[in-house]
Amino acid sequence: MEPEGQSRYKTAPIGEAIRCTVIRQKSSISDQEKEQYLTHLYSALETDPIEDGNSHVAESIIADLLRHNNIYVLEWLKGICLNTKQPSFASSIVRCLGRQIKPGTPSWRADLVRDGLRVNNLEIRDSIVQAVELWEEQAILNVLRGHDEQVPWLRDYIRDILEDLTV
Amino acid sequence: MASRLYQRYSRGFDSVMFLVRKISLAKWCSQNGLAEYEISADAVTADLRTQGNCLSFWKCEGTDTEISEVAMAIAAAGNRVDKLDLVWISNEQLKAEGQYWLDTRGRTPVIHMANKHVDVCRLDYVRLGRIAHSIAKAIKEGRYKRLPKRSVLRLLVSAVRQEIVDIPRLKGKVIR
Repeated sequence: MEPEGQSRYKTAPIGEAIRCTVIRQKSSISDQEKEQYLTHLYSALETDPIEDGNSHVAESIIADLLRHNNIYVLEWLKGICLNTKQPSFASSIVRCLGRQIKPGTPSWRADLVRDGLRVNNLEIRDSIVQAVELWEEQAILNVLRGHDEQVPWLRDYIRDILEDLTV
Repeated sequence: MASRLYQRYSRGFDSVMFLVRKISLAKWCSQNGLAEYEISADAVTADLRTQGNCLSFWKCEGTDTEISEVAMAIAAAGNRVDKLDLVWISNEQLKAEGQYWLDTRGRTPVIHMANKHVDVCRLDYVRLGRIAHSIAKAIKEGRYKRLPKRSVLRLLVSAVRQEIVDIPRLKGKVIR
């Protein structure tokens, strides 16, 4: 990313070069807001672990966060999801994301899945696979297809998802 | 006195039966810094939350059909459809551990399954630990099953078609 204030040249529609200044896009939420979201999420998930088959209040916190609709927020969330120092929290956040209807952008989801499947933590990888199952996106199935899972029951789950969802 | 109580609680279980419970498989299999033989506290606190010192289980004979019926009963009681992880332990194992259980009415819209429910009760720190140990052992011995979301959905659809589910009691996204 170019440093803020640096000039660059951009071609105008008529072919004439014009000068414009790069303005760095600002994060749409402050560090304080991020901290507040994290506090709410930790509290919600500690009180009541997320469970298959039942909705969880953390889903609405994540939905609210996603309304910021900003790449910085998405990348911040992705960092939480892939944090192997707090794998239970990370996998809970992934599970909440999996329950959203196509959060972020298609490339962001594909990157999350690709990076998540490489994580050396079973809980996080399992929740990533479940997110793929819930999103039901054909493009992301290819990412899943390319993954070589060593844990047998997770490998079987991936195989079942690919069978169920491949059209 | 203890043996009389035990007989009163466990009456009705003459043959080998299995008690099935929903779990999160990944929590029981993730080491997260623990040794292979150690049981994760996250698994225990997430999956073995007691109420009134009791844990809910569903009894079955351990066949695929009966385990699918338990899956149907559990899934129909939820408010969304997700994959489902189940584990089962034998009543013989529970007897050996000195556990107590009572037939109690199961809260499920799958009508015929309501009387297949038990509460393993009078749980204290030690007996709960034994349940955790039995579940970890069951997973090691392959007595678990993961049903992907579509399989769970097929079970629910089948239950509706067979008219064995009380549809007004289906909640949230399950009914949709």
